[in-house]
Amino acid sequence: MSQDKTTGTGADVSYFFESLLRDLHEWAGRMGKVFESHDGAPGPQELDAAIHPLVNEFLDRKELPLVGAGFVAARDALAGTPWHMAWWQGPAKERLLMLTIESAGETYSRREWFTVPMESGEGHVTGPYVDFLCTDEYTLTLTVPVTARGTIVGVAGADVLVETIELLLMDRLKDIDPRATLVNGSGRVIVSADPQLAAGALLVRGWQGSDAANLSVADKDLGFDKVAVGRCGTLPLAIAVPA
Amino acid sequence: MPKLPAFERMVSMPRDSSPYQRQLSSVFASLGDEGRAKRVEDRIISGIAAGILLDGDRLPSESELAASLGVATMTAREALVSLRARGLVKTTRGREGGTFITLPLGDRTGILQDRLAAMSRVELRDLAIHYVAIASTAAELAANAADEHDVVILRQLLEGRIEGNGARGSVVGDFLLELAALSQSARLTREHVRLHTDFGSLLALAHADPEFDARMIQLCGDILDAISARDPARARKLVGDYVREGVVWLIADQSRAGIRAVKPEKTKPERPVRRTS
Repeated sequence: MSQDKTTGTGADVSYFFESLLRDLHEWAGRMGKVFESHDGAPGPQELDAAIHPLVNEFLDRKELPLVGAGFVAARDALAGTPWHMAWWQGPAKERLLMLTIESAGETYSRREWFTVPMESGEGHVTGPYVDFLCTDEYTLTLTVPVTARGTIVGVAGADVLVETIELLLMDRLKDIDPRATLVNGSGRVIVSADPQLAAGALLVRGWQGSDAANLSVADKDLGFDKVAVGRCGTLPLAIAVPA
Repeated sequence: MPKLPAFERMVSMPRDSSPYQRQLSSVFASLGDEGRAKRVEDRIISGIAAGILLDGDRLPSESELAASLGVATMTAREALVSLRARGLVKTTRGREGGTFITLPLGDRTGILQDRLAAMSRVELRDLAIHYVAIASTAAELAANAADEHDVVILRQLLEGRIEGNGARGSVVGDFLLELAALSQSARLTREHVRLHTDFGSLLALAHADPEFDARMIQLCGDILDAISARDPARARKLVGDYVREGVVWLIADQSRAGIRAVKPEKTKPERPVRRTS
């Protein structure tokens, strides 16, 4: 297995996620300005009015079909409500209703897509996971922190269906290797060129904490025992190819 | 075709109908003659009964509700009028106004007990079979797919270390929902959610019994151990055990309810946590 080959074409895959995160960061910067242009904390209605056009613009991008996008406030970042989620989704860009219910705040506040950017101050890729709060589909969620006056006031994010990723990246993976697999930070399959491997299966655990050239696979019935793991830059993503 | 009473329809159904015909007839089966407003109303009531909508929760606006459920705004309005008349929601005006769930003491239990009382054992067990088919398959798949982080989250949920989302007694329901999502199947998860408002809400009656609730949380601990040990067969079996215990409790309660009806002495239900905006 040639490591160079993986890195070479794997760069395409990395670029895909890196550019989306870069756009999200730029977008989050504009959301931060909404907070900064306001004396004190804005209320939910003022925030929604300012953010809605930004979300629409983002969802209208043609390069990558997003299933939803929006802003999720940190606890007490807004005036008059402990939690707030301004999230729109679907072809009609409908406002997520469930999340106007106050109890939802406690539900989202412990989800990985919220906690990781809040705690690390970095962008994060969550999933693949069944998102029963928002899309009701098998989803990948990209989130970045929104900062205003030096404080993290929430996260900006976008949902992409795993099947969209499959559609966009399958050919690129096949170019790398007929059995190449894109895995997340836990070594879970996002998309695989290998017909045996379903999205969601755990392929190679603990790759992030290891420097070994080849790592053992979790499933013993695949016809190969080890994979070479090519990291996608600093992202919590890698491309695994049977070694 | 003249409308036949249910019993006659059942006996006149051809015994040798092919699976295809059965499927075909399900496509064209009656959508029911209930009005659409009634269906919207029932949906909200089942949300209340399942403990998803709690006392003080704000409902979406008429137009949001209509768009979300795919009905006309007038239909949503009609449903809200009826819910208001039943005292299940109240509407306030002004900047912080809206329509809120109001759940008078004991109403949720009352709704559930009425539903349970109206069910035959056959119907109850059939619902349980459907539920167990979904929940145990999800557990089996989750045992293969869960990673260490997932196990940590589930453990926190069981130990009550996550700020309460939902009323007391919902730990097991929340646990099984998270488990369903860990199957990595969106279809299975959606089906679980649907059945959870159906069957899971009845189980809430059982979970209001602290002894049953504590024992089932313990059982969920065993399920989690099986998930953590990557033992799909054991995870599947234990979910089956949970549902079986639940059904037995519910059927026993139906018998108790029979006695209650003679001697009206209600147990005092828990008041759900009030949510403020």
